[in-house]
Amino acid sequence: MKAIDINGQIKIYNRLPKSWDKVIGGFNLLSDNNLKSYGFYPVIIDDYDSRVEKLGDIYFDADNEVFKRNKENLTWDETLSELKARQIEVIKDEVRNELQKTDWYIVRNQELGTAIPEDITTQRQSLRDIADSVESEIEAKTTKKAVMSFDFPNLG
Amino acid sequence: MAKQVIGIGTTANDGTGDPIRTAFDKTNDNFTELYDGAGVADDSVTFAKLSDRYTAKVEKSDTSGAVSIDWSAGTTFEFTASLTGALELDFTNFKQGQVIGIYGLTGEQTITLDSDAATSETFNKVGGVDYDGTGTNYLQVVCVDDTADAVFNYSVATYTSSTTP
Repeated sequence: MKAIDINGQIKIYNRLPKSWDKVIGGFNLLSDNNLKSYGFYPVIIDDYDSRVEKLGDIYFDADNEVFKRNKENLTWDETLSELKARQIEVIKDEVRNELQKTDWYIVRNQELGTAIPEDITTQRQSLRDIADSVESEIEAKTTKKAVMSFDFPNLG
Repeated sequence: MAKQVIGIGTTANDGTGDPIRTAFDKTNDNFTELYDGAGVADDSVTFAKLSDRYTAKVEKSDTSGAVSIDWSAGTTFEFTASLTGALELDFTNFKQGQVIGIYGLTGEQTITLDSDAATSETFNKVGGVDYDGTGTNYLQVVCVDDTADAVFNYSVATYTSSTTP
């Protein structure tokens, strides 16, 4: 990936054009050094965690002769408690969705007295345990970033 | 009218040359014909009478590097071998309104245009096609300004031999 500053506007090229200025073909074949003579420089983009970070504006790092986009920390208007509640609601929603898949066993048992298979009972209890565990872990977090970057378990 | 030649005799003052009045009459007639534009008769400028820049073909065996394209030497330039490295076509002696064709260009390499214009040169691409080294390309260039800030318009496209165009 390369970029060029054209009259103050930085344009990013995922693929270089084949022609540029006096080059009528094969511009994309030029070496990095030759591309620099036309104003094209590599683009360095930080890896980032979109849950708690975002990318800043692109700029030219003259010292290293590259265009850069650095990651920046996200900020939240909500309080720590509100963020915890938001995240706990996420896991509760997921567990609720998983439980609904086997709710019919419970309804059948209520209406017809058909026994609920043991593995289903075990699975449903396991889901509730996970929800309780996750809620405790989230409640124990002391920073917004830690809350928002919490890695939820895969229930599927 | 055929050109009227003034008789000047064999030696000075030998009395065999044209009288002064006759001589200047011939002079006037010759100039009249020139000023009336009859100096070049219709259809009298043949292909063979034109200079190389309008008629000649120039072969180029270069396969890379800076290559001079002398617009006074030809109107058609053929590259006879596939390119092996980056090629720079340096235009010289171009004249406004002149058109040249460069063909036989092939090879996946970088091609750059340049000129010896005193101050700068601008190359305007006509159409949206770029040189494609996977095929054989024809490059047509017209000089639209041959001043110190020269301007050229060009178009390039691949071509193939076709018996059913």
